[in-house]
Amino acid sequence: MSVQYGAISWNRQKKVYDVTVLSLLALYLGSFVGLGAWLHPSATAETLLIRALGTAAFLLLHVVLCIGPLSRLDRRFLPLLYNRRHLGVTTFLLGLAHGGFALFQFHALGNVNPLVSLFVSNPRYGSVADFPFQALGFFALIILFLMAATSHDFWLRNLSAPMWKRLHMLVYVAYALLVAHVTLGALQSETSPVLASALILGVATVLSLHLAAAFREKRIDQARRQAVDEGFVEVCKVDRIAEKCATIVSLSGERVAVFRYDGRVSAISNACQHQNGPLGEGRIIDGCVTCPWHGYQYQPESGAAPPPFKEKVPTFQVKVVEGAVFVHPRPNPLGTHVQPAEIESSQGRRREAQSR
Amino acid sequence: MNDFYIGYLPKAPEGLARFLRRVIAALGVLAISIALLLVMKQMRFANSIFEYGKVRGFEGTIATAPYPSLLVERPGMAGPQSKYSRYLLVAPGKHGADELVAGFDGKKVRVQGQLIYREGGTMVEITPGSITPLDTVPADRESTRDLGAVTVTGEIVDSKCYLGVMNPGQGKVHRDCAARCLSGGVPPLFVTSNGVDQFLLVDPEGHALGHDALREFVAEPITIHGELLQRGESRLLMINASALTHMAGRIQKAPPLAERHE
Ligand code: FES
Repeated sequence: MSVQYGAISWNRQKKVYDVTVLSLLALYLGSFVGLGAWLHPSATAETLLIRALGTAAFLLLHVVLCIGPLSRLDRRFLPLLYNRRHLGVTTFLLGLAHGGFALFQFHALGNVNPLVSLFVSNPRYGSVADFPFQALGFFALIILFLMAATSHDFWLRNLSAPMWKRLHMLVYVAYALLVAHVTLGALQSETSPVLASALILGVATVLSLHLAAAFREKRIDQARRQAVDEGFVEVCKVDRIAEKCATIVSLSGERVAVFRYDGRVSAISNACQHQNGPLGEGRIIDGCVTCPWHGYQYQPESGAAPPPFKEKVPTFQVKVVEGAVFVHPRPNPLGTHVQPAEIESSQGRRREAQSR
Repeated sequence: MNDFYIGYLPKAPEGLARFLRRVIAALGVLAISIALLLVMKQMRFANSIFEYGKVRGFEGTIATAPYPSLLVERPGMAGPQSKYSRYLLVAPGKHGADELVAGFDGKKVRVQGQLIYREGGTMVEITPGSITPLDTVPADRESTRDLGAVTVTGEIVDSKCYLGVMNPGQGKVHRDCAARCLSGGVPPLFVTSNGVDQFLLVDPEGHALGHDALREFVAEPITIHGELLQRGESRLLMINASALTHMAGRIQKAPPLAERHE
């Protein structure tokens, strides 16, 4: 039974994903063709279909390209990434339908083979404004085909991951070809500045999201490198520490208790001043680390017992970089106040969304 | 951490699911808005018709030159207008009707086909094999009047698509199709950039241009110098195709009528 349940549940997510994608697609195509036929009664069905399919493929490619950086910027977008290859295949199919209809409409029933006609009908390869833009769409479609055809894990294994990754980086070439295809094609015929602005907005969105994600990753890398340069040691992920509890790590022979509480992290020595009880196995009660053996308490930021008590344990410098806890192995003098590390905002947001 | 979600897990945690539902709703709104925006901001479509699937019979006199046409008598016409309506003839697909009308020049015939029309021009796509000679009196040859030299700015199109088989049947997107149609023998038409005037393009002797003579210049903004002729109700522009040059800029709206200089 459980195996069967596993199979069903595995399918359910994919089904939900695909049904959602297809519904959104039907909504777009339906709106485009329906509104088009209503607002432009003399437009032919082929023209509306070619335009609806082409714009749908191009828009979907924007979505495909934005999901990657979006989920690097905010992990809540990750579920959209999970079946991204379905979006890629759908993009290809939409492009194929667009290209197929266009090839038939513009090149079939003539005096040469349509695929030859595609390349020879417009000889203005040296011009910008009059460039044979359909050839650009053709090559983009070839790339999308290669990617769709190799999207299955079978190819991921057989081509080896780096090779596969390189092949799939061609999506950016396809995107550039399609931006040129639209700019040198439809935008040369259409006169509304709104359409040109829409394209610019699309390209700007894709570029800025990629830049933002790259910038953020660079900042994180720098912060990590800086932490390591300053002598900090990565000890664990914040996620591994339960709220108001600690994880115990051993740093240059010293056992350190790393506590997480109220969105912050502090590190103090693991050894209780009373009888060397393991503070890391204790909890934070009323804002103080409480020893599991006899209940001695220490403030996590300073390692000092709350007044009027006088016990003090060493504290350690601590940092959190993108969900990873870094602790400096050199103990501070007993009772030194250390600014707790804030758990980063993206983690906080996720927790917030979770608890709401 | 329980909000770590892997795609193959059966259900996303509630907070995440709510977030995703919002994203999907936003995408839905975006899909409709973009469709609306793109549809509304497209260029207006021309009022042109191709009576696809509706075959009619026509009677008239065939003229094979410069491009196959059918001269159909206008009932009870007198005055300045031509006695005949001139329907350009083409074959199905991206082909001219030269082969279909060969041997019928100056003959009165009955022909079957589908009508293609738009403001300023009418055309018939002949059903192959449907031309049957009639014994009645053919039309007189129409006289030709020289209207002098003109310089016009506009676009070279293929008459079949422009008059109604495709919509839009001009412009950059349609360029390859226009080139293919001209190559197949569909008569080339010059449309001024304001869309008002249409001239059939012919060579300096008034004969049909070579099928591929205009491929380099079709569907792009162009200024042409030529000699304008009036024959019946159609106007022919005699041009030297080898003297055409590409224009640097894009389409500018030209004054409504061709600027004339003798
Ligand atoms: S050892 Fe910590 S309270 Fe006794």
